[in-house]
Amino acid sequence: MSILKKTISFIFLLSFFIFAAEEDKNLTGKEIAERVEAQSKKLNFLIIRGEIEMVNLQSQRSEKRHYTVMSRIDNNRKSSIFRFTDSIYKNTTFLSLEQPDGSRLQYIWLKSVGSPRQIEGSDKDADFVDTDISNEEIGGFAINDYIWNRIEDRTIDNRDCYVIERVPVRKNARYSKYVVFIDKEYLVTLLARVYGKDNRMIKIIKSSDIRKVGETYMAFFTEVVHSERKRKTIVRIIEAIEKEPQKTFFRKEMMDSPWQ
Amino acid sequence: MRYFKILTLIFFISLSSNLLSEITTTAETKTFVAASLQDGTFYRTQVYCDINLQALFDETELFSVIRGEYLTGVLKNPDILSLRELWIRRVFSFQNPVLQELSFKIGRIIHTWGNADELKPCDILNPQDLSFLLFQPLQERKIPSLSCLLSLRFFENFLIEGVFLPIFEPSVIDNSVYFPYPVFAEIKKNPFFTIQPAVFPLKRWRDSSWALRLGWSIFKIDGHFNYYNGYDTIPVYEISSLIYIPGPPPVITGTFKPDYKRIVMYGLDFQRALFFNITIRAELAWFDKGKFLYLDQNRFIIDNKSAIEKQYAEYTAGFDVSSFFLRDLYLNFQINQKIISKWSYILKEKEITTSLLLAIEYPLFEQRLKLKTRFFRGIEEEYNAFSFETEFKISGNASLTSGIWIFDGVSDSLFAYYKDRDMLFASVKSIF
Repeated sequence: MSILKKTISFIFLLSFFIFAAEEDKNLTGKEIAERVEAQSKKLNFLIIRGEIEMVNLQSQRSEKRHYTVMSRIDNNRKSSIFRFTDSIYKNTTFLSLEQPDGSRLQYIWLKSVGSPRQIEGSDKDADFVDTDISNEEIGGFAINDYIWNRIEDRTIDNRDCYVIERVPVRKNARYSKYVVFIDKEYLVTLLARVYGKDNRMIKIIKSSDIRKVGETYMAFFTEVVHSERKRKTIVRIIEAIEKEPQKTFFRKEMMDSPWQ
Repeated sequence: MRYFKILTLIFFISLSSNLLSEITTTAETKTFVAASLQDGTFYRTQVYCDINLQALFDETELFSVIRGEYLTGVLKNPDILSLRELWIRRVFSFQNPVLQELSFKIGRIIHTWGNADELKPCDILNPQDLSFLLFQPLQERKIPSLSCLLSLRFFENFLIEGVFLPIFEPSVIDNSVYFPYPVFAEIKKNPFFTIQPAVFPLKRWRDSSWALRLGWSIFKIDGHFNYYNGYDTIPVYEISSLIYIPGPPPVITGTFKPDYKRIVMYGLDFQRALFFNITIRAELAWFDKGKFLYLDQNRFIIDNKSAIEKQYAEYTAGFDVSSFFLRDLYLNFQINQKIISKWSYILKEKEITTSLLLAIEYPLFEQRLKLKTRFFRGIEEEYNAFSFETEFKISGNASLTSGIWIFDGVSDSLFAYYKDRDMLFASVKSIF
């Protein structure tokens, strides 16, 4: 290769990195959120089995139960369904269906009720059953439900992160804002600080053990520490497989289906 | 019974096949005791253990609940061991944009129609164990029916369901303490009245019950049109003979025959999540044929009948809201109204009867303890029923519930009738 060709190639490569770095710098908070969403949608089908542990930080008393989550993408719309598979909450099932406008239609099915109950939009940040995880953190959120303000990038555990302040649009939201640290390479949230209406930090959500699943990355360990309740909820993924779940499982009429 | 045996056989053949490894088993036990608040007399003891077998083989689902039960307080004790639920569902998916899915479900099934809570005029497919009024949740009161369900999904958001119930099963209304309708108790306690054995529908195809439902989900409103053409699971106590014996003192002696009538019901239900954590739910039923309403007892001898056929509408509308004033405070409010068409003064019921239901729940100590209260109020019938209960989570797999029910009222309406039978109860539930 001639010196000229090498020089041209070098200039192109350098330009690419400079352009990429500049573009990365110019990304808005909303664009980063869209990238994260696009990354999560690279997996058309996903089945996760895991364990949730709730620990009282004062008494150290803990309680474990197992769960299954299935998700699928159809027409670029994500549907997901969550179910506890043991404990007194066995078969409590949560269904989230992304609508054409990006909003979510969410249902909860309880054995004692026997039919799916629609959950109101602002109920999304209510805690799911007795955990410290919100309905929205289980079922996903609509980007347009938040204002995304990008703030200065930070490094967490030697990982370069985008830092975004996520402010709910709805006035009656339970939390005033979320400060979210997103790994630049994996596009996975490593840390989220959740603030109450009085701007005091209420929850810290920390994720680790990032693994590749199909074409995307997932945190296999998430810890939610609730400072007001003095409690933490640990979510572990035991198994995550890229396998097509039946489309019929994502029908609200089929929420009584006996899958585990 | 023959169909039931065939189903059972199919189920156990499935079990014995190489699919056995796919079956998951869980057990649920419950012990429930209830006693009089006035004198401590035990009303009822219920102990049951449900063995739940469920499996999924590709697009075929199996579900069964085998129940071992000890029960007191009912006049006809249930079998110690019974197959409570057993159904098989097969789903067929199509690439066709019009007809997208077809599913077929057969067995002993608990159907859930309507979108309201507890007071559900459209949810009439299954008989219920009404011997304990509303003290058990509706889903637990329901008795599974031998039935089959065909469901067709069109254009993603539309659903047509057909339900066929070939064998009639009545609701349980006999109990040593409570009757679901005071008129039954009045007839039963009158020493001059005799009740003949019930007349059940004949076991013929044309005496089967069936129902249709059209469902939709548009603009985030989930709704259904419902149609039911089948037998009422509550009998009408019709007069066989009534004789007036002039006194002194004058006496009326009579014979009554419980008769199950064929009814036609048109229904509409919907639910929609709104804002501020509020979700509204409502259902309306129009009983077009076969509903007989009781006359005032003074009219029995004049009209020589106990009840006359009437059309009426019944609706329930309500909302539930979470985090109401306090975080995690749950409130559910419903209004139920029954409006009789072409009402006559000879009827025992008023032209319009209104019931209100308010339920409040509040969790404490990281949801280990839940306080629950329910309040029923009959506006025209002037009754009140109030409950307060605590549910304590013993562990991840067990909970203990205890509480009281207090009744009051000024007339002989549903709850006022039992105002000297307030109740204390406790139950322990566990899942393995």
